[in-house]
Amino acid sequence: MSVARRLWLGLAGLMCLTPAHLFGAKPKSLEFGAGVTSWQLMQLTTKPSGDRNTTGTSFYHLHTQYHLPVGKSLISPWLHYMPDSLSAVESSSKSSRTSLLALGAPYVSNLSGVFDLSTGPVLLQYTVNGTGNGSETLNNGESSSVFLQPDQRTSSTTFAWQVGSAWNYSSFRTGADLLFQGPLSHTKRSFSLMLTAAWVKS
Amino acid sequence: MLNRVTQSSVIVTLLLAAGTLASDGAFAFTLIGAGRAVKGWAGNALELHVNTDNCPDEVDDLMDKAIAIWNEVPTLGILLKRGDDTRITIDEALAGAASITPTVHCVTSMAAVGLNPAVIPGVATGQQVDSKGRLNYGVLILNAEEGAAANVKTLDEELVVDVIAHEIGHILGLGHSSDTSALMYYDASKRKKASLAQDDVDGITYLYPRDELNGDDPFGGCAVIKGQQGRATIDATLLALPAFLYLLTRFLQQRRRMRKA
Repeated sequence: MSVARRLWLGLAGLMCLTPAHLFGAKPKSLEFGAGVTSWQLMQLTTKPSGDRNTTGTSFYHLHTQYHLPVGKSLISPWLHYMPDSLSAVESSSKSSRTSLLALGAPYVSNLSGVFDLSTGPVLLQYTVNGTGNGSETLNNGESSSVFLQPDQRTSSTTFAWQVGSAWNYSSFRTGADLLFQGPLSHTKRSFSLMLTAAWVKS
Repeated sequence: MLNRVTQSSVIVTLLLAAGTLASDGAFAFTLIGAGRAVKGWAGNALELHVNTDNCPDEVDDLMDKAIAIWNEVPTLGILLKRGDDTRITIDEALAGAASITPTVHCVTSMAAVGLNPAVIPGVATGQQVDSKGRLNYGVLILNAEEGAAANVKTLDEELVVDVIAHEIGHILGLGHSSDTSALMYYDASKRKKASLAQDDVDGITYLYPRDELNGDDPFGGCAVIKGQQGRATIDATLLALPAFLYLLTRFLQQRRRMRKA
């Protein structure tokens, strides 16, 4: 189990044991934690048949967020980051590593003492880091062909829209958000699930 | 009561997390090229032109479905389209003399192009690169040989779409993948659905990264004026997000009024 998985499960487990002392997202509070993004729900396959999975590819990340009071609501910028070396998704041939950096600035509204709703724009940087250094001979049906491994680093930068909610208790906050990618596109529309658990410092 | 709500929410969160933990796959995309990997086609759009001679009647529909599979990738920075049909022959295309490219052809003799008609439903060939390593030529061949086991006219439609999408992947510069779930895996015999694996998404993003901070339309562009194949389109799901946000705002406003009262 990777370090990021252990971190995330550890935080989530800790919250199960935490006495519920309930309140919404706190103004001027800073939170640190970890999370996982299930990238492209119901879009990708991991089966030879091509049947699509319900869940997407898991990207683990460290989480930090600040709750800035604006009137009676909050603007709460957050950053999700994970160093390549710690938890990037690595190819089976070790020729590429993929990572996801996300920056959001949602509007957060405390709905009750228990949970809050958030919605806002998100900037996603999806990086494919080619770490191969040579060629690979692969079957082409009748014989074999020589293909080349990726050796460059490229990043795709896209905007998404976040809609979600978070539960607050004691000094912890856990959130579940949907990220809508390509919401204005006819062809590129897809969505991802983002789960986060964090410790809140007032 | 609130304790129960809290504990239940944590359990739901953990179950969702467990679902995501189980979904990791294998990734191993490669690229075509000789000694040096290609860099993909220049520009932010590419049209594929079909010579419909000998092709299945529904070849345009099959092409559109195959093209849509790649266009769905949210991190893809190139828009694929089916261009106008062409009269360029397979001989002209293979000779590297086609005036427009890439072209798609259905051939009635796979042996004439050096392929086994029994097992090869399609192939991408003739790719050429310019001095900067960018692709600028390609030919997509589909098997339409009478009586051949891999004739696309006799295969299941979903499989043909899968084959065409795979060959378009080669036209775009991708090589084969060792991931058995990938569209770019060489063997399509187990495929029931034409779909992409994470490996395919990584490969195509590597070649054509989308950059919405520098030129590409933010939030994927506008569906109303940039529908598939350039047709103006709009559908219910496009309205779902703003409708949800509107209802959410109304709900929050209502709640505030009740609090004040």
